[in-house]
Amino acid sequence: MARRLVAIATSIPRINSTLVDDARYLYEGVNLGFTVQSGAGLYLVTVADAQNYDERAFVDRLNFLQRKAMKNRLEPSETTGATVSFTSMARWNVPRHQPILPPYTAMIVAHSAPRNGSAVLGATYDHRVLTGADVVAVLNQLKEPPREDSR
Amino acid sequence: VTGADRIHQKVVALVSALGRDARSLRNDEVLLRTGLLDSAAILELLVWIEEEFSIELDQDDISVDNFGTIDQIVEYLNRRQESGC
Repeated sequence: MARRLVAIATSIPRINSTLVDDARYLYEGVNLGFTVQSGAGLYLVTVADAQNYDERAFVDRLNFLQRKAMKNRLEPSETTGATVSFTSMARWNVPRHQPILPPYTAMIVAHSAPRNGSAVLGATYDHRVLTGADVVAVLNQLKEPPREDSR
Repeated sequence: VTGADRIHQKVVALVSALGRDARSLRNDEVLLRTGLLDSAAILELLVWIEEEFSIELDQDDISVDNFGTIDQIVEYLNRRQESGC
């Protein structure tokens, strides 16, 4: 689902943007922020230019960063520059949560634990940049399995 | 305590943190297929293996063939030990 968010951010560039003063900036690349817990700490690791990775390479890169985070060995460049983010509390059986928006981003998606076969997908977003309709469109696309996954 | 026992104990601890019981897990059961460990817990297991057995895992080595079951993990660690890297 995190990789699907990257694809959506590529096709809907305004979710991959930020507002600074009165100007909106669209990022060229999609740097996916992904939350990783390490002991009592929490990192937002960044898969830089995630749009350039195929499925396997994306998973490998994300797993590599997750393992570095768990060992507290991340480089500063691996935890900065996220342009759109994803967080999940499914493993803690949390049915709904509301993340804080990382700086200089417009959207973070919140994935939760399923209840009775369905899970709540939520988002925190900058309402100056995105409308509710924008976010609903993103969440609707996220919930649909892509063709390559539905085989 | 063998390597397999240590890994089994760690798996049981990781599963317990998720509120489940893995004490009856067999060493030849495919971990992902049991549904006991989620992807983050698998990564925690890999990080623990690196620290416990003082090795660095190459991303290319992380596969179901090497880490699918506890038995396969032990075999992989034995191969690493024999090759001296």
